[in-house]
Amino acid sequence: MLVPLLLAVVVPVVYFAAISLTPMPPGARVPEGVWALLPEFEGKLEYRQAWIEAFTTLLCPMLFLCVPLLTGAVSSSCAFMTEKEEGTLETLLLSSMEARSVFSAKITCCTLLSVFLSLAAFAAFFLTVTVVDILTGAPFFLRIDWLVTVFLLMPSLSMFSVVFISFIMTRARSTGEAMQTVGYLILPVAALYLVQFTGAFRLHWTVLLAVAAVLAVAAVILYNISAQKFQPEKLFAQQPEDGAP
Amino acid sequence: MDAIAAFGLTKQYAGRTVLQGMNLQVKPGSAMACAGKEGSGKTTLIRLLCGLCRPTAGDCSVLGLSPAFEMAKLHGVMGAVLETAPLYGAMTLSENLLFFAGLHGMDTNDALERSSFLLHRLDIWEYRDEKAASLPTGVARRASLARALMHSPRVLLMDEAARGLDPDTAEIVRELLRYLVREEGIALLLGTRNMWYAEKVCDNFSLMLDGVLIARGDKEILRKGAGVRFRAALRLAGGEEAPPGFRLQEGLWQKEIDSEKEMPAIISGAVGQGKSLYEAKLLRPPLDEIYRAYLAGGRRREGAYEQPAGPEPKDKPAEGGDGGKEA
Repeated sequence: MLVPLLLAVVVPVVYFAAISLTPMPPGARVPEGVWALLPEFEGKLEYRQAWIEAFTTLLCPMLFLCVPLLTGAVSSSCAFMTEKEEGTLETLLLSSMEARSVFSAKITCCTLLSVFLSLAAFAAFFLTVTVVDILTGAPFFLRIDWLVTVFLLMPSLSMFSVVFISFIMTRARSTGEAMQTVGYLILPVAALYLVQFTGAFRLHWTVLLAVAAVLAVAAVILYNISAQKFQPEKLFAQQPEDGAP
Repeated sequence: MDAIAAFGLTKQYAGRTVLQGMNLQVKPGSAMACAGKEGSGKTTLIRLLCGLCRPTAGDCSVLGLSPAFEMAKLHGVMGAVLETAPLYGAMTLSENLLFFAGLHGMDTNDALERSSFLLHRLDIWEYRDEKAASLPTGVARRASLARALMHSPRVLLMDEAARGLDPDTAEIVRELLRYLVREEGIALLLGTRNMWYAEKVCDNFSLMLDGVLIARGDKEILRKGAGVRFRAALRLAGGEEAPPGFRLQEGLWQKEIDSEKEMPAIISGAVGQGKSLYEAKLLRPPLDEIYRAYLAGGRRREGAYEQPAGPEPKDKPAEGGDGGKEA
């Protein structure tokens, strides 16, 4: 719970505190590049309001999306890899549940947990930023791009990160190694948002919608591949110690 | 129908054969031990029968179900205790049992009743509220057995049942297993290195070496197959000479005999010769001795006396042989 809190509350609070407490030099102007990223507000916002708007619109979504990625990866690493390491996955497969049912139950629980934690993190973020918006008079941040991010992109990303870990399960050797692969997921997300600052493009809500759809489709494909690989023969492919001649 | 059947069961890992052409039949209500040294393929055999791995060649079935293709259905009627399949450490013993009972679709009241019976019977009732991670080894082993028996399976597979158990605990487990076989009619397959324990629990044995079944049958068949004989043992008054053919071993005058029917004649002979006979007993060879005899050549070596022209094997027993059955 600490990482979601850090990303959704502590980092924004530190940023807002820094913006609010830093003395504003007389005649300070927001760089043209930033206005280019906020064309709808050009000339309408004060110096601090513009920086807050830029932060909540351009950077905070990236921080927020790290929450489903991390919670999804950690929960599925524990559900799959830790159980495999400790042997309880084998015990589970000795019950009268189909292997596919075990797999589906794990994916569902991890995805729901990730979505729930992400929504909780967003609620905390919402309260924080709303207070800041009211105090500074900045525009209310929750617009269509944020709605798409929270209600479509975040669940897709949660499911994708959970399924991704289950996909690499047969290759990873430990829970730690499985968790490290979350880096492969965070990098594209971070790059997508950070590249905006080069001025190359601005993430429109339609793009976010498309990304959410692509992730959902990819998650479904990976789910089916992973479910087929979730067989005892493949999960416990190593020769048992006592059976070794 | 056999409760457990395997025909030509073979398993290779990375091209290395760990089980070769295993044939096995276990009837309902009987107990069979797969006994052998470490690395003889016992664990692999049990994992194949559980469906945790698939055979490279051959086939097996448990209660007519294929472990590889009907795994969930099979586990509804089969219990398995493997060393690599522990309970959930963060849950208490009771929670574990109820959780797995739930997975088997058991009613809560039935699960409570069954867990109470098993916990008492295995003498681990007082550990029921302790986390599984903190259970001592012997208790954890019994807890795993309780987990496997929660849904009253018709077949029980156990790998190294006595490992980590002290003699008293091993006896408790043995009593429960005998009860299950006799009263509940389950078929038991025990994979073990502990020949003494196998002999205590089971009536039939499959002796294995390097992934190969070297002999199969009850103890008498195996004894004959290995060429191991009974021994008559006499304890005489100090300083007395033993009857002809006897040698002093471990404080007793001993002589190999072919049948227990020879005992009355030996006893009456000793008494007739005026010996002060304090004690006379028939020493039956333990399974361990029979197994070692197989490893040393066993039946083939004995057979070599009848066929002097035949080559005498060294350490390797008859390959894939059903030596005991053939004897």
